Amino acid sequence: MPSSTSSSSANERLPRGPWLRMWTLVVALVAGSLGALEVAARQRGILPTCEDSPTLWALARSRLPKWDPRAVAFLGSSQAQLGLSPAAFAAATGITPAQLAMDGTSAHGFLDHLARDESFCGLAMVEIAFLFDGRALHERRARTYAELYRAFRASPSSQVDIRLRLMWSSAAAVAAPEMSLRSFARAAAQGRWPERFYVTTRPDRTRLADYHVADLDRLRRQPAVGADSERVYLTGAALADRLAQLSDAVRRIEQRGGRVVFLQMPASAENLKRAEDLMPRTKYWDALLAATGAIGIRADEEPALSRFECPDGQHLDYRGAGAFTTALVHVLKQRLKAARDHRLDPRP
Amino acid sequence: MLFNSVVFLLFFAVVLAVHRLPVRWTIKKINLLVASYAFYASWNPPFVLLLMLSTVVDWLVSWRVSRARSLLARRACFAVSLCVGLGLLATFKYGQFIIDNFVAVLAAVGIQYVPPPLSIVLPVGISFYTFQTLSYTFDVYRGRAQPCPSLLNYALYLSFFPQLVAGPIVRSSVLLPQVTEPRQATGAQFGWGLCLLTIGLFEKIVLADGLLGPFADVVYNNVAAAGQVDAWLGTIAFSGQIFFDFAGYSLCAIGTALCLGFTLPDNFRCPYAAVGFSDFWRRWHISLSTWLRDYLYIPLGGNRHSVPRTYVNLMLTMLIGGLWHGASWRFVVWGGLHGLYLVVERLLRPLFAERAWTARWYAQLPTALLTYLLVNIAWVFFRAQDFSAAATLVSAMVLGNDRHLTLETVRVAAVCAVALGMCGGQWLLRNTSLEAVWSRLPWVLRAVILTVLILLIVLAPGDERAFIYFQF
Repeated sequence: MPSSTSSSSANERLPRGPWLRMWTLVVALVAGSLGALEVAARQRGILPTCEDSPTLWALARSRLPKWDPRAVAFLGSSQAQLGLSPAAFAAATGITPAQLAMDGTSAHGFLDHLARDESFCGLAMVEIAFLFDGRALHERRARTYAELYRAFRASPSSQVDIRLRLMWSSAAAVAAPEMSLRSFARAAAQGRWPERFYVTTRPDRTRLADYHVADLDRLRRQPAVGADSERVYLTGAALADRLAQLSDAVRRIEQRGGRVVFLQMPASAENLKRAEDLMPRTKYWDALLAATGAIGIRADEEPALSRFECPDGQHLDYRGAGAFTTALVHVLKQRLKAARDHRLDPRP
Repeated sequence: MLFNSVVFLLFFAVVLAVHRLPVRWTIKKINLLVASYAFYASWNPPFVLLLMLSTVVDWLVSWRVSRARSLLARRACFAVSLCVGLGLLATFKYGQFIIDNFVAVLAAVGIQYVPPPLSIVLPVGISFYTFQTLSYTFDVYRGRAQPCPSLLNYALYLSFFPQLVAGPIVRSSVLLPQVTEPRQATGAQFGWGLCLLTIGLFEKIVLADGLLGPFADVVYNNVAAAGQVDAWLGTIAFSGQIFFDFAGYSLCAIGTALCLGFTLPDNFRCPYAAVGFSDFWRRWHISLSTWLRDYLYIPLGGNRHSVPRTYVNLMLTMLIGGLWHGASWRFVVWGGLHGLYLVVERLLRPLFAERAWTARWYAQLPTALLTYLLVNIAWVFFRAQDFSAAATLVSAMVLGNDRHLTLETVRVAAVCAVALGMCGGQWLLRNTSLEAVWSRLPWVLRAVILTVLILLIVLAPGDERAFIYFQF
């Protein structure tokens, strides 16, 4: 025989001891400690929340019905993720949309992903904050998420595992990111206890922002979504290319009986002005609608939608998100009706 | 299915419950085999067919080899096994790599060739089970082992889920006898198995994924901006990440198997306390290094021929060992660097032979430190995205520059603490074992330590990362 690795058998040198007693004590100590941490977390206002991970996105994506004209997907950035409520949309239409919007992300790569999926023939609601950002990170992210979605669909264990994790994280405050080791270390470095984060995430990727517990002064100082200094605003040939890509994606979805609606979310007057300075309406919004022929809804131009206030200047509070979505559904139905599209109407 | 997933805990609980039922050993083996195939299929169900194909072919071939009357017939049968095993590996793991290099060679001579796009998904763990089955047929071919009479036993040996996807690569002489005899874990095996599983999960979830991995990512994703200190910190973080990731996986595998009553060999023994590179490879990924030694280096001639031939054999073994890790020239360079280190060590060895002071701590400690630093430089090629990034980082590490990344102080402190703890701990434990240290602790202290580890696992940030070695 060749010399093998069997000589270091763990069996030959097993530690001895009262294993049952020891593991019983471990179970009791772990249960007691987690219980105490759960109480401490809830006393500090920390709520159970899910981690908005790539796998959670893949799960939401996998829930988008196939070959169904009534399938609805929300795409875009944090403005859409915080401001569009799938629950309110479902209450108003009977259709539960898939929340596929993502923090700091352009929708164009994700719209392309939906356009390439022959089974998608529903409605894509595309929020436009980062749509004309030329940074490569957006396409990279969309590609990564599309690949991850493919792997997720092929992996039964991932599909079961995320559901089990969601059961745990949506029930236990101790599983919230505020209670993570990293958060503890950061808070300890500043000589304080971890504090509640103002955003919580639901298993369907709905994110609820509670600005009553947020440091609004700090948030208002942050650059507006889509108007930060790192952005690359597409112009000239690059802008034409992006418009052509978007137009192609819209055409492919519409050829299958689907529809794309572009959406400008509410923002404070100051942020809207800044956005207009950086992305003049005629050059971007009007060009987008002209190139794609899609429906466009701007919250600042719809009386029913312009009354909503963003506490931090650019995102809706969870209290406003539901009402905004209900109002948006009303406007959307009117626009679709004008286009002889009745997909959101109740089924007979 | 990852060891660090909730679904694995449920799966393992069910398998364990069935395994402890008072039923015949054959039924228990079928339970383990079905569980192993389910475990493997949970990533990508169709690939379980490849595992089955490999199992049946090598089981049949081993019988044909043992019954063949002529050397030619034995060789032909063994060639079939090699062709199937290495053929699957070449297709699924190296297919794209081979085509890319073919295109590059044609381009170098002025021929532009655009191959049709390949979309090959790498079956998880294919390198591990291929090496395991090759060692079996090789042993039967050389007459060192008898063919396994039972297909069920052989299938379970090859697919045993704790070590299926990332090792340890277990020889048939170690696991097949265990599969043949009825086994059930004793209380001590079960208790210690759970301890190993907990320690392994702590290493993977808290240290590798929670602390070191994200830090290494920051540096390796911003190579152009990294200064000398950043480059060293990022690389030290990665060397810790890959150790805790893989050693953690191995501990989980050994612990899981032990809970079922099976004993798997160690895969790591304090590698960062190695004094020299021969010592490093006796401590790092032991099941692979011994496999390469027994099935590649020694068949190539080992050190039985001339000195230059020994160096060539050593280099070839390490280059192939590097390529085994992944279909990229970066892994070949990583293996080549280790081959070079081993060659230089062999060249220098006569200078220090039979000098008593070389065994003293004041000689060994600096040598261990030098080994660690050079191992870290080799890791750059393992981790970097491409050669350009690796060259930039090695240049920053060795020559320095005037750049620097903005790294969070808390994270830097955590990485330094973990790296120091890891190296210091391994130095202190280099001549002992985890079991020996654990045996010296009072049971209440053991319980407190395990409680802390479990709490840290639960409170670790939820970064989702597969084990690094799954991609190999």
